Amino acid sequence: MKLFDIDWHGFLAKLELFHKLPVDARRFFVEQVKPSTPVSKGVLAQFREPLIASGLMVMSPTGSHANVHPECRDFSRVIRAMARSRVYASPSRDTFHFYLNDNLTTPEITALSGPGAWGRLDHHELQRVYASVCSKAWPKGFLDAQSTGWELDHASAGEPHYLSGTAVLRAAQRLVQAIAESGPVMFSRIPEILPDTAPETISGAIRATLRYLLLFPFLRHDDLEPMIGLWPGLAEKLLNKAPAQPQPVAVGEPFHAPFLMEDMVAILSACAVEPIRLRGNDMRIFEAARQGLEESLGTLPEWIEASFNCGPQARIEFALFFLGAFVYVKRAGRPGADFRLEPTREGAEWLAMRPKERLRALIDGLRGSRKKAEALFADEVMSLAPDLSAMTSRADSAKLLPFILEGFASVPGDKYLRLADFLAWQSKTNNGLAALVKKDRYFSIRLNWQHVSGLSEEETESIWGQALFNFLRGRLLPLGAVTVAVEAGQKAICLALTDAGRYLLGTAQDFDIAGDPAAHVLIQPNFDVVFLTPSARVEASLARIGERKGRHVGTLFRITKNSIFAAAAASLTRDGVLETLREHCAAGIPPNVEAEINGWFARYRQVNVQPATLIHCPDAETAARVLATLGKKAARLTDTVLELRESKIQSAVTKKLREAGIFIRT
Amino acid sequence: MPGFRSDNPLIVQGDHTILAEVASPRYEDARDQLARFAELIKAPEHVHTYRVTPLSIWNACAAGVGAAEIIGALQEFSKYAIPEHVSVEIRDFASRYGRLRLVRDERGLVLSANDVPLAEQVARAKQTAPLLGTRLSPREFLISPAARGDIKQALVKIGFPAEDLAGYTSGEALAFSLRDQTLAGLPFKLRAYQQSAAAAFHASGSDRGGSGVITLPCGAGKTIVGMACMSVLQCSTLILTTSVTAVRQWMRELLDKTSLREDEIGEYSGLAKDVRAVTIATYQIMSWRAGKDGDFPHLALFNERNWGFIVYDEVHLLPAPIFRVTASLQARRRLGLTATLVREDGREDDVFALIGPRKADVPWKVLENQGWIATAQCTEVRLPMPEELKMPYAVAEARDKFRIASENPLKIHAVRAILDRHPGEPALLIGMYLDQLEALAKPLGLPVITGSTPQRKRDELFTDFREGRIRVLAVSKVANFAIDLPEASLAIQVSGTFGSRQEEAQRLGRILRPKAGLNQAHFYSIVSRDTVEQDFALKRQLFLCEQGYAYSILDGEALGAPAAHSALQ
Repeated sequence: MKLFDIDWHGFLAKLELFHKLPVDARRFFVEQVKPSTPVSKGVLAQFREPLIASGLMVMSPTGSHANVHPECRDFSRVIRAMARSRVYASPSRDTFHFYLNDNLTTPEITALSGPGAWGRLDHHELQRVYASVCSKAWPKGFLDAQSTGWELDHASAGEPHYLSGTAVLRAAQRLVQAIAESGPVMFSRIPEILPDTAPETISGAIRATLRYLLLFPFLRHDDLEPMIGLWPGLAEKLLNKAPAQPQPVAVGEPFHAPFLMEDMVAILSACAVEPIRLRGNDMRIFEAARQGLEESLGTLPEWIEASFNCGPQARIEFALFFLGAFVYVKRAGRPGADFRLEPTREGAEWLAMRPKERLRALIDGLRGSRKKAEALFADEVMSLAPDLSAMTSRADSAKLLPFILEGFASVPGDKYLRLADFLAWQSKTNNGLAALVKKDRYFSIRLNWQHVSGLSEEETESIWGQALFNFLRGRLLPLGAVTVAVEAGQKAICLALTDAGRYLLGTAQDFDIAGDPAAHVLIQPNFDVVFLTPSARVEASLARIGERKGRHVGTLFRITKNSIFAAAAASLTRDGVLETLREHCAAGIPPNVEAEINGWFARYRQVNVQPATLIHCPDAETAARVLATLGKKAARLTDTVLELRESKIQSAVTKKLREAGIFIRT
Repeated sequence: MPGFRSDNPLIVQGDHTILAEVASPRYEDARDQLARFAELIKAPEHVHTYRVTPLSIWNACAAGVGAAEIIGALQEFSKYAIPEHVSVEIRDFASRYGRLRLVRDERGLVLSANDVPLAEQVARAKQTAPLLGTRLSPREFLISPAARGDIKQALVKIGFPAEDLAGYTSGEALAFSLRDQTLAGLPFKLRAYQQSAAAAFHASGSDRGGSGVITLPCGAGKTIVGMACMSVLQCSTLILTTSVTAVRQWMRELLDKTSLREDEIGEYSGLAKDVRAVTIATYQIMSWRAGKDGDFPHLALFNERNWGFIVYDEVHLLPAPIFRVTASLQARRRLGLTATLVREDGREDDVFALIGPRKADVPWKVLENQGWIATAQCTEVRLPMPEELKMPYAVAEARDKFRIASENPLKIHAVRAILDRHPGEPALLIGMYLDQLEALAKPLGLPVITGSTPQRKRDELFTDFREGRIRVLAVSKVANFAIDLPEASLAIQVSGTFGSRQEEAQRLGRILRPKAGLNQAHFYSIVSRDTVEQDFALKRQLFLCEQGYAYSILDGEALGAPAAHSALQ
């Protein structure tokens, strides 16, 4: 080992000095102070006093700087190494590999992985270290070891033995078992966990567990307390806490809305009123336009936004992506010259559909039962499970998809299951990835732009669980295919399938868009639309009709002349608007509001602008002669102005005009 | 959502507005609570909007309602949890009231803070520092009596209102009483809400009473409340009001309903300068001056007698010079009467500081339900523009467009049709353009009152109208303010100014009087369709809906008015 090969008894003693420091001084010591580098008085600032008082640092004789106490330098190195480790903050292959390289030598790593095909440590073998060490079999094998012979299979040649005797072995096993049961513990508590154990034995046990990657040290984030624990997530597996089949639970705050569809409608409607300008450099929409679009989005409950990372910015991006993939919008103009996003004919048709038909169009597109459009990356965006496409080949994705669909199809519609339980159960019992790995030892996937093979059981479960979650987040939830809720009295997220979900998963031929029975919305005679209860779906529906005034509950919209004009420009009809208002608003539409909406729709007109070629004649007689020559190719606008019906005058016509004495000057 | 209580009526929003669902079973209880500490902003049919402001909280505190009670009431009636910062701010607003007091003792007029840091803050604030006299102690300052009003104004501006407990001068005694029977022989008795309002103002004669504002809807009898307050105070009174007609209305009421004699009541206006034990003056005369930079000579009226009581009728219209004088009259009892505390100039906090906190406020719906004011049906009648006016309208400037639309000659047919719909009902025909009024009145044989109608003639016509000899009266803007026509149940507006809220409230106030029979009043507004007049009418529509009036829109043809293409007959 590089840094952790120390006298841990001494470390525990120095820990008492570290405990004397307030948290901000600890942070300074860990982050700013190097073991062998002096620190000037000025840099020490307000931390000088506590650091010197603790004994971790000593002032120089001149008083101009301080150094780490020579007896505390190992402590400083070790604690800085712990701070570098991201194993607990962000457990992943990358953080594991970083930890490995930071703390073990190459021979030690090779001893764990075995040599590669070229006789040295290579990428594939390194992957296998992760797969074996971060799997429950690793600590389990150690706990089952009867003698120090276990070490022989995992140490490099010539390396000193860390399990120097049975006492150290047993102490190390007790330490691993205790931590598996309790979770990560403070270093300072280790003597309590190993009472009646000699200090050197405790030190040897710690060293051994760190050497053989049975335990991992880290600093607790809040107070930088040195901690030690198993690889995150292993403890439960080690204690054989197998996931149970999820059971129905009671819930509150149910939410379901096809908000992706509503967001697409909001953006498309905005485009229909006025095309959205695009930046020439990256072809994205301008920030001001983005903020305007955010205003038009329906409101999701905060817990939904936080749990599923679907804040307004992410939703706009997602909706734009879909609009592009379905070719409902197109870029027009050129960068720097009226570059804009405008609806296509297909987009306008989609916008004019009823909500159920719109949603069906999206789902059918994803299911592939609709002809895919020609947009770039359309296949990926429009695939039912884009995570799988990113992870594996197309052929393998096709093999994995049924597992995902089958998994979610098992979710009931009338009862709620805890999401965490569902994911754990599916990852254990219906794991498509595990099935492929089992068939092919060298099966690899793309993970964070790297090819990863030799996946452990735990890793396949974790990756599969994430794929399921991403399918929920990227497909089921935004299309209203599930209702999510919070377990009554707890904070656990739960889910149930909707009709649209069954249709999406292929277990139903049709679906209904469920109403929102909880929504209580009123239209006031002063044109305010008041939400007495929140409803994202109704809010999205009415956002096309009124000007936004608020979010969640209260006065959310006001119907105005301009908002009705905008609705008309977005192809909504008077009857459609009135029907939508009657459908959602409990007490109907006040007569004066209905009268005004009728009046505003009656005033709405659409005009077309097109270029025209005009012929200006000096007098009416000349105009008559020109008209006589051009015949149906021209029309009289005024006594002296004619409009040419063609884009330009043909040369034959020009010749005829000249013969009549009329010469054209452009 | 967690903690959602569907039966409760209130939604408290982060911007301090409170929505109240009228259909909720607990609405009335909630409304009664809200009236104590929140301002009613708008009251359309289903959901009413209130707002909590520092001023509304201070008004509540002045009436003995504390922060805990306010927050408790909101929590009890809210559908959802109250935003935490709203509770914090209510506590903060409330905590500022009562920390400063103005009292009178042997040392004189003393401003006393409840702690030294606050006293320091007041001493250092640039608005208040110049008004403080000798520092009597770490927490006390001597205040010049002349600065009593100014210091209260300044303290409101820095967010620490002072409770004025310095008492009043009693003024010249004046003994009189309210009659049991009017001069016309009709029984007269204060209504319960009028008695409560007067009692709240008087506060049994303690120093906590004697200054403040009473808000009652148009037609609820604010004049009666003023007289009731006068009768408990029994002292000489100066009454300020908005016009000569209003002055004479006060005079009539006082003679009709109190034991005061004619020689005890004086008119002080452009037409007369009688200063008597009860003197009624107009704001106009008080704020008159010869030149832009001249003095206001008639403000001397405030010092002409030892007034014990000053009444500010329609206090929301108080002009700036009167504010300034009022600042120096803080030793007199003061009463503001109004239907709305909303001022177009936003000086509500000056009213609070110089006149006093709100003492009584009865929602108009309560009075309507009890039958004290009539329900009003508002109808907008839309007429097409005649063909021959469409092009002149299209090419006209904006201001001219409004006039062309307003003076649509087809309106006469609508007026006739409306009058025919309401046979026998006393009606007002209201307009902005005198030519139009004359043109409408003449064929219908209606008398017209404009700004140039001599006062005597106005009085005669109003008397004839009140006594039923004239059924329909055409009036211009002069009829907007403070004219009591108790028998008007129908108003037809043929042209209006540009959607002033105050104007609409006043016009409706003129017709909201209890009637025998249906107790229903009607307000018609005739506009030309698809013109700027209709656009401005929308503002009026919004305002009236927010006041809670029922509002409908009718096509003129449905009323019997001719279609656009038919030539004007």
